[in-house]
Order: sequence, then structure tokens, then C-alpha cells
Amino acid sequence: MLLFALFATLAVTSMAQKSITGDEVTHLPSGYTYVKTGDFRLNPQHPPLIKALAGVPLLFLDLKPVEETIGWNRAREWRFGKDFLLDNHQPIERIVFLGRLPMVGVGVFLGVVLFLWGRDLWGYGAGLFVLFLYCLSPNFLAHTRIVHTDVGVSAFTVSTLYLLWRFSRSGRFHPLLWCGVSLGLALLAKYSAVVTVCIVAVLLPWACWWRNWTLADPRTRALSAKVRSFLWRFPLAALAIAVPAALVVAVGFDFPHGLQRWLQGFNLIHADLNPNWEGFLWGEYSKTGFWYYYLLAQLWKTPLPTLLCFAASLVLVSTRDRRTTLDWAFLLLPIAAFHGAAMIRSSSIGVRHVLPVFPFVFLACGATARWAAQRGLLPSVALAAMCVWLLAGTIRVYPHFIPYFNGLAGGPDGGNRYLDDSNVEWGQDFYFLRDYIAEKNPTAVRISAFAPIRPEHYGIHSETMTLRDVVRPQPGVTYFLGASYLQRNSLYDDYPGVRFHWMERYRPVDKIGWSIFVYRFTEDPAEANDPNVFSLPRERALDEAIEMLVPILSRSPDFREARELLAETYADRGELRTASMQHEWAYRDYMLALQTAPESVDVRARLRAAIETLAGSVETDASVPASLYYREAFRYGDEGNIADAILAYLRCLRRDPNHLGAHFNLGQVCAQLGLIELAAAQWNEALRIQPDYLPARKSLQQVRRLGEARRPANERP
Amino acid sequence: VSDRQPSRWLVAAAALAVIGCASFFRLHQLDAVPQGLFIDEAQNGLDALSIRDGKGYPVFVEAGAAKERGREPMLHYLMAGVLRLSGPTVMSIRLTVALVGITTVALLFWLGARMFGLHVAFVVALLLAVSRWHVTMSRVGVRAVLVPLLIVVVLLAFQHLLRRRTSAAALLFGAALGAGFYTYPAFWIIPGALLIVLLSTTLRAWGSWQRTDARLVVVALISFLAVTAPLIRYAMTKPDYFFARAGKLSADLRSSEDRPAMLRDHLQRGVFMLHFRGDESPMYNIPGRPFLDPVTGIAFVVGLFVILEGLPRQPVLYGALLCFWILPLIPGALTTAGAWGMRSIGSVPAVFLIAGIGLVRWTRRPIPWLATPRWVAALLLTVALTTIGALNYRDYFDDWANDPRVQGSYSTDSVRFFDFFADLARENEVYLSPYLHNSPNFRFLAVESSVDLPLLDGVEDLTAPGDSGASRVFVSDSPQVTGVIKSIYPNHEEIGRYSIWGRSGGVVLRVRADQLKVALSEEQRLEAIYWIDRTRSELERSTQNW
Repeated sequence: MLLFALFATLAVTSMAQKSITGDEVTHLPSGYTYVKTGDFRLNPQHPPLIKALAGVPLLFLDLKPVEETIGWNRAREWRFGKDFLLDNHQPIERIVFLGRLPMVGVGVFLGVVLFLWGRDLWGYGAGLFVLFLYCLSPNFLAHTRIVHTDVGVSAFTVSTLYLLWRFSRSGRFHPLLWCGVSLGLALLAKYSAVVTVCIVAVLLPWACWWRNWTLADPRTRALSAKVRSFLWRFPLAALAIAVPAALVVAVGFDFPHGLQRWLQGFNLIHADLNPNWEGFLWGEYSKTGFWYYYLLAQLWKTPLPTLLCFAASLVLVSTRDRRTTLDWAFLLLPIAAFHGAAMIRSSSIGVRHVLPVFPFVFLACGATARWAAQRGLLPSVALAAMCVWLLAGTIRVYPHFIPYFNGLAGGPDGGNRYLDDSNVEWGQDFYFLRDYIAEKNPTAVRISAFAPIRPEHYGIHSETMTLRDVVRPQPGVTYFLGASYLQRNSLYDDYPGVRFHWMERYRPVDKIGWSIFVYRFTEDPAEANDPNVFSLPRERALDEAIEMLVPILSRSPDFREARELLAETYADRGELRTASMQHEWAYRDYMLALQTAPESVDVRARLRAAIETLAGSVETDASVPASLYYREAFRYGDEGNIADAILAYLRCLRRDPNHLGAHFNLGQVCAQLGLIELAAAQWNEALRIQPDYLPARKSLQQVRRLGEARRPANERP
Repeated sequence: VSDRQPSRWLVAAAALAVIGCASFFRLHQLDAVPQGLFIDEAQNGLDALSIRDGKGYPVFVEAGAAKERGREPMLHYLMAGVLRLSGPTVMSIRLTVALVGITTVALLFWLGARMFGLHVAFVVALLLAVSRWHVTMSRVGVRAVLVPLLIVVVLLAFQHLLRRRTSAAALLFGAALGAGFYTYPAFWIIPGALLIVLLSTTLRAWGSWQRTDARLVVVALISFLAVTAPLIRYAMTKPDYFFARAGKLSADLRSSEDRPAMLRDHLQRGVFMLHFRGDESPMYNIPGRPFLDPVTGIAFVVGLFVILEGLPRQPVLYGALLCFWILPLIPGALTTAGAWGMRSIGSVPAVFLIAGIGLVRWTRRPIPWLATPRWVAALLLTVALTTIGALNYRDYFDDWANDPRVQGSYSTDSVRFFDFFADLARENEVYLSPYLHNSPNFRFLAVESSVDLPLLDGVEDLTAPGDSGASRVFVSDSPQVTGVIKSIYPNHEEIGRYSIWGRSGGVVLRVRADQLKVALSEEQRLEAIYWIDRTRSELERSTQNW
């Protein structure tokens, strides 16, 4: 009872502190409509049981009629969900809290079944150990307090297999009827319960055969007798499960169309999947997912004491005697089946998709507990140490159970380097974010995080982040970035490759619930050692912005915002370099800026100033004659390398200020860039050197004519 | 463990089968797969040639000013021997490592037979013989392949020492351990692993620890120091060279703000490279593909469980296996991301021993409590090994060998271009740019084919004071030099364009013999000198890493 109390306390108290998560926006309101109206039009891609359970407490609240809620008529679940939660007679906090309460009940039910099975398998003490592992499992604590289907399917899968296991032990048929009911409930909880059906389909004949095998009656020891017994036993057992299961589904899902509706919904499982979604695993992205995603996810998200006990149990498997074969099959087959199914599907979203695996891991750990108890003091002490370790690890992360990771991943702190999405960030920390902002009172707030409902509804006033913020974070602004968003491969669906590179570049000044990272930047060297800001010198910021923008533009040349920003960044870097007397580098930056955004008047003016500065300061090699620079410039010009051509002409003119060809050609190149005044100055200079130099005269005339043509008619002479 | 002593004929047949299989996977199409010539191979070949020609017998091979390119010399000496026998060819370079690989398989068979009996040894050696991981490393002329060989030799010597307990055995063990330091830095971790095994052995048999044992330790230590003395002396006199490579590769870790996280991350990548995700670099792996095929991977997991299960009964033996798997992952974990397969190559013997144990156990008992009849086990084993062989053959000779990324990594173009220029040189005088001329690939290929492709080195190369009668071909990847040539010879013929090693804009220009100028104008001469000099000096700076 103490463990159940601890479990419920941890779940309920942390639940109140967590904001609404991703799918709850549709699950909870949909569940309410099921129980209120008996109409299942919303959210058909998930079966109704768990959602309906969540909707029951809401019946006691004064809520606005379903029919008056936006989205109901056209079955738009997200629109409906948001309107239901945000524009109702009750505050969202109350609706969500009450809706989540039955989920804790489902969690407790699973705990009871686990304890019973653990006790029956390994003895009372081991059963308690199994329950301990479950009650302090951060994954179950995280998911048992939200309106989602994963804990539900886990609970009913375990109860189904427990009852089937009871049948295998006793040979009595009545557990099978309850097993069928439980299977029906599992199918009504989540469509992934089809895996449970497959497991039952394997274990049931095995159990029937096993029952024959172990019968003490000598008459049934003959093979023919066994076969005969099996042939009547198995179909009967199958019927005993299938009929109640089908009835439960039929009744629970809009009787008498339940089975048909269930099948229709099954075909819609991926209906709400984002086509641009990419799976993330350990620094890699994949549109098709990773076959080993859930293996690693479970490895990193299962507490280490549990993992160690499980590994020990697996070693014990191979030394066990054959009498326990079926028992182990009941524990290991579900683990293999759910992981196998996850490998085939490779959706790579969150460890919650293999949540039904965890209870069987806990049950298997019971073997280690029993073994340790039988081996005397030292193993028992080691086991006790494991329990303390688990308890400390779980309490340490309270109430932030969703981003829990074990030591292999560096704890919750390093989790988002390995996994994203509902493994770390599911919109659960907006209450904490609100409190943080209220306490710190930052001047400017920008948020880029997974928000099932807009931050304004939590009283958080923020600006939307733009590309500029992503590549050139602004000093003085406080950024709140979701742990998943930091790893998102592309923040824009149309423009791939736009992502935060902040994890590898900048240190967050704070973390809220390990799911929202707080960043603040300063350019001021005096604040370099201040832990509350990250020192980002302007030059580094500009360099990194260019480093990020260039590949973005090469992938998406039509991304106008990126192009303008790159030009501006080049220009800003040029300005910075001008200030630090790096004239040649500044000139190159302005040139790049102009090439990036040729229409920019401001950049052109800055480039002109840079060329004028360079004309008097460009470095030359005293051993190289002007003619060599001239030929070099000419060649660069031929190759279309205007930046180097101008530099070479300037060098030539530094060596020989009266080089006619250099003046004229420099003018031509400047004219190409639209630097008409500079070009004219060079041509005039050429005419000064050689007054009858016809090409320069013609070019000047052409420019004058062009200027006249562009002037308004009333201003022409 | 084998139940009875196998006959000599059986052992010989098994050894022959294993060696035959290893030879097939390492020698088959050796002249064609991998295509091209990796720069490190070419440099190793050049250094081996220098040893062969008696130009020096280095304790540590230096690469000019590029300190981090220094290398341990054992492979170069072996290669020099092969080059002496079979001539300076790319095939000889690769034959050296292939022979090392075959020897490793043969010795692992021997080691496995001593440790676990003939049956397990046969399976272990076959798994290694066909393993894409080891086959890849055994067909490219880099020194990492020596590490598994020396580890196996050290383990054999160690086992011999434990059995015989004689000074000669201790001498042999110390020498083998010392020799390992002349292979590759990944070997540095091995004494640590041995120390753990030795300590655990000693602690378990503390009562029987005798004065003889102390004497043996001293003898082994003296032998070890005697063998490594030249290298230790080198490391002390030139630490900046000796530790440069390790220093450079571990720079990321040392500068990381969160070293434990990085180390943990790298170590996990090393562990999971076997089953989930291997190196992204196409040099030694199909990018991203795990190093073990699925069947060997499963066998490895089964083997791990067998070892964990047997650990209480045989803590030293199985503990050593775990130790020799995990500890050699550390060099990979300590260095820059990537090339895990090469830097963690020390784990190869243990990985395949574990996988072999697992495969044998699995075929004998597919379900833990169900022992299969001998013929069923043999059939399962044959099917498993055939599948593993087929999978690895396909992965290496089809998937990896034909992957365009692999061809890029092995500079296939460099060989193609060299052949093209060598063809041109039959009827023309071909002058190469410094970038190509100084590259190890071109230098080695020039030795192999005995073709003289001189460097475009000065203004006199642009003129023809004599009457050779041959047209002249200029290979230039400097736009300025190309421009100079074009301006001097406006009637040149452009034969082709090329880009290589990330440098684009290369041009091949031919000037007919009758068009070649005897002398250049002063301006042309000045310009040519300026750009040829400047290009060469820039390249000398940038190609120090060749």
C-alpha cells in the first residue's frame, strides 16, 4: 500500500505542475464527447477507452455544450480541442487535472497486476520488488499522469497475459474469459494491442500443450492422448478468449458497430502523421526512422538499476530448468514482440511506443530478486543498494519525469543529444516557464518550443523567433528553446537545413524541467565570466551566422529572407573589419554582400567606400612590377573573379598611379558592379593621363546618357 | 571446450580451410578492390621503398614538418621486404597487409584452439576470415591491421608463459608486447588490459605466487624494455613528433567543455558500432553500416550471455575476453569522432572470439535447455557460416567496392589521371603541377611505372632551347600559371580538365614541338617566374600534410 501511495502521490502531485502535452489537446476533449454524446467522430485514429475514461470526471463539471464548440460539426479534433480547453466555463487547469486523474487509476491497476504476477512467479518479496521497480519507474510516472493511450495498453496487455499465464498454470478455463475481456479492453485502449493479440496467439496453444505435458495423469502422457487433449482444449480456449474480446470491442466502441468502427480506426493510425517529420536519433535524422531506435531508447530511458537487474535475469534464463520455460516465454515474448513490431514500423517518435515492454522487464527482474534472496546477505545488500539507487534517481528528477534519461545518456541533462520528441519535450513545462519569466522578468522574450496551445494562454508574452534569431542570436533577448526544437533538422518545411546549431555552440544559462533551454547572450567582454549570460563576441556571431546561412542558401537559393540576412551579415562583418582596419577583408565582405543582394543600395555605398579606402592602403610586393598586377587583374577579370580583379588593379595603381589601362579597366569593373561614380572617377583619371583616350571618353558619355535617361523628364535640361 | 584431443589431421584440415578462406577473402581481386590508391598507402609505400633502398632505418617514420603524420614503422619494414621480393607496386603494398590479415586469422585459430578447443577455434577463425571489418583493413596498406595480429601474438605468448613459466617464455612475451608498440597507437591500451588480467590471475592464485613468478615478471619487463628502448628513446628526444598524432586526434576531447559526456558518447558509439551504426567514413566501412553482419551480431550477443553466465566459473578467462573487447574501444573513444572501426581495431580478436563462442553455443543449444544432436548442430553451423560468408562477400565485394563514395576516398581518379599522363608521356614531355607531382600517389605510381613526369619548376620548362622534337604537355591546377602558359602559347591545345583532392580547375595543355619558344620576352619571363614560384611555395605550405 505504501508503494501504491508513493506512486499515486508522485503522479498526482507532479501532474498538477505539468501543462497540457501534445496529444492531450485532442484526447481529453474527444473522450469527453464520447461519454457525453456517445458520438465517436473525433480522433478516430485512437480507440476510445482511455480517452473516455478521462472524460468521465468532466461530466461533473459545468462545461459548455459540445455542439456549441468550434470544430464539432466538421469533426476537426484539434480545433475542437483547443476551443473546448481554452474557451469553456472552467479553467483549462481544472479540466486537464480532472481528466488526468483516471489515468493514475489505470497506473495503479497495472501496479496491482504486476504485483500479483510477480508474487505468483517469484514469491512475495520478489513481487514487492517488481512493484517497487514499477512504482519508481520514471517512464510510467511520466505517462500515467497524462491522457494518453500508452499506459492503458500496457496495463491491459499485462492483465491479459497474466490471466493467460494463470490458465497455463491451473488449466482452468474461467481466467480465459477474463483474459478475453482484458484483451478487448487492450484493443479498445490502443491499436498497438494487435501485438498483444499476436502474443496471445502464440502463447495460448503453447499453454494448452504445456498443460498436457505437465499433467500428472499417466493416461495423458502418451502422445496421442496429448494430441487429443490439445485438439479439444485449444479451440475451446481460443473461443473463451475471442468471444469476450470481440464483445467488449463491439460494446465499447459504439454498439453494434463497434468491430467495424475499430477496423476503420485501425486504418487511420497514421492519419495525423506530419509528412515532413524526420526521426532523430543520436545526431542522425531519417525520414524512414531507425530500426534500432526503440532498443536504444529503452536502453537510455530505463533506470540503470532496472537494466542491471534485467541483464542479471537474462543470465539466469539460460541456467534455468525447463519447467520454467513457459513462464519465461510469457515474459520475454512480449518484449521481443513489441520491439519487433516497433522495428518494423520504425516510427522513431518516443519510448512510450514500447511502454508495454517495461512491465515485462520489471517482472523478469523479479527473478534476480528471488535469486539474490536465496543467495544470502551480499546479493541482498546489492539488491537493496539498487533499490536506493533507483529511489534516489527517481526522486531527483521529480516532477520532470518525461525527459528522464539514465547515466548512459548523461541523465536528463544530456537526453536531447540522443532522442527528441515525447522523450524529452512534449509541451509539459509551460507552467514552469511562466513562473521562471515572472521571477527573472526578462526584457525581451522569444520562444521556440513545442506548444500544444499558444504560450499567451499561460500568460506568457513573447515574440516569435525568426531566422535572424536562429542564426544570429541577439544580445539582450532571452530565448526559450524546446529541447526537441534544438535538435530539429529543419525549422521550415519549405527550406530544409534551417536548424539551431546552438547545442554544439552555446551554453544554455538555464534549463527549465530539462525540456526548455534558456539562452541569453552578450557581446560585452566585461560580462564574459557571468554565468547568467553566454559571451558571444560580435565577430564570432557574424562568422557563425555566415557559416550557417551559406549552406542554407546553397540548398534553397530562393529563400529570400536568408539571402537578405546573409548580405546584411556580410556587410556588418565588413563594417566590423573596417573598424579594426582590416580593409581588404572588409572589402571582400562588402563584395560578398553585394553579390548576395545585388539590389542593395546601402551595401553598394559601403563597398564604394571600402574600395576608396583600399586604393590608398592596399599592400603590394615591391619586387612585382605594376604590369604583372595588371595582367593578373586582367586574367581575374576573364575568369569573372571581379573581387580579385579590382584588388589587382588597385595594386597595379599603387605601384604605378598613372597606369592608363588599370584606371580604365577598374572603371569598367566598377561600372559592372553599379559603382558608377567610382567608375567615372577612374575614367576621368584615364583621360587626365591621356586626354585623347577614346574608350574612356565613350564610357563616360554612355554613363552620362544613362544618367539623363533615368532622370525624371521635368529635371532634364 | 572440446571433449577430446582432436587428431592432427583434423587440426591440419581445419587450419587449411581457415587459411584458405582467409586467403580468398584477402587476395581475391586484390588488384582491383579497392579501386584507386589511398594517400596513406602511397606514403607508406614510399617510406617502405626508402627502407628497401637502404636510405634509412627509422625507429619512427617522420613526414617532414608535418609532425602529426609520423608513424610507427613495423608495417614499413614488412612492406619493404615484400617490395624487395615483388617489386614496387600497389599490389605489393596491399599484399603486405593481406598477408598480415591471413596470419592474424591463422594465429587466432591457434589461440582459439588453445583457449576453447578446436571446434570453437575453427568457427572463430572462419568468422574473422570472412569479416568485412577485418577484410577491409586487410586490403588497404595502413598499419592498423597489425594491431589484431600483435594482440593475438601477445596473447599466445602470454598463454605460453602461463603454461611453461620459463624465462624463455617470459622473454618471448616481453618481446611480443614491446613489438606491439611499433604497430599503431591503438596498441597502447593492450598492456593495460593485460595488467588487469595478470592482476586478477595473481589475486586468485595469491597463495601459489612464488619467487619464480617474480623472476618471470622481471625477465618479461626487461625484454619489453629492451625491445621498446629505441622507441622510448625516440619518444623522449622527439615527444612533439611521437605524440603529435595522438595529441591532434584527442584535441576535441581535451578542449571539450563536457569531457565525460563526450567520452561516454564515444564509448557507446564504439560498443554499438558492431550492431547498429558503424563509421560514416567510406574509407573503412559502408557508411553507417554496423561492422558485424546480422548473424555474427546475434552470435556475439549470445556469446556475451554465455560469457556472463560462465563468468563466476571462469572469471579470468571470460573476464579477459570482456577486457580485451572493452578496453581497445578506448583509443576510439578518446579521439575525434569517426574512424571507430580503425582506432578500435584492437577489439577484433575478442569480438570474434565472443561471437564464435556464441555461434557454437547457439548451434548446439538453439534453445538454452534443448541440446541438438551433433548432425543438427553441424548443419546449423554450416548454414550460419555460409550465410555469414555470403553476406560479408556481398557487403565487401559488391556494396562497398562499388560505392562511389569509396572510390572517392581511395582517390580512384589519381590512378586514372596518372595513367593518362603516363600515356601522354610516351610521345610528349609532360610537366606536372607541384600539387600532383608532390602527391604521394603520383610519386609512388611514378616509381611503379618507371615513368618520368617532371615538375613544372621554372621558366626554362616553358621553353625548348634544344630540339627534342617532342610536344610539351603542361598539367596545371593554378589559374595563374595556366594563364601564363596560355598567354605565352596562344595556339595551345587544351587536352582536358580535371579536379582532384578537392582542387578544381586543373587543365592539361599541349604545345606542339614546333611552336615551343626558345626564349621568352622579359615580361613573360618575369610573370612566369613570379607565378610558378608563388604557386610552388603556396603548395609547399599547403601540401605539407602529404
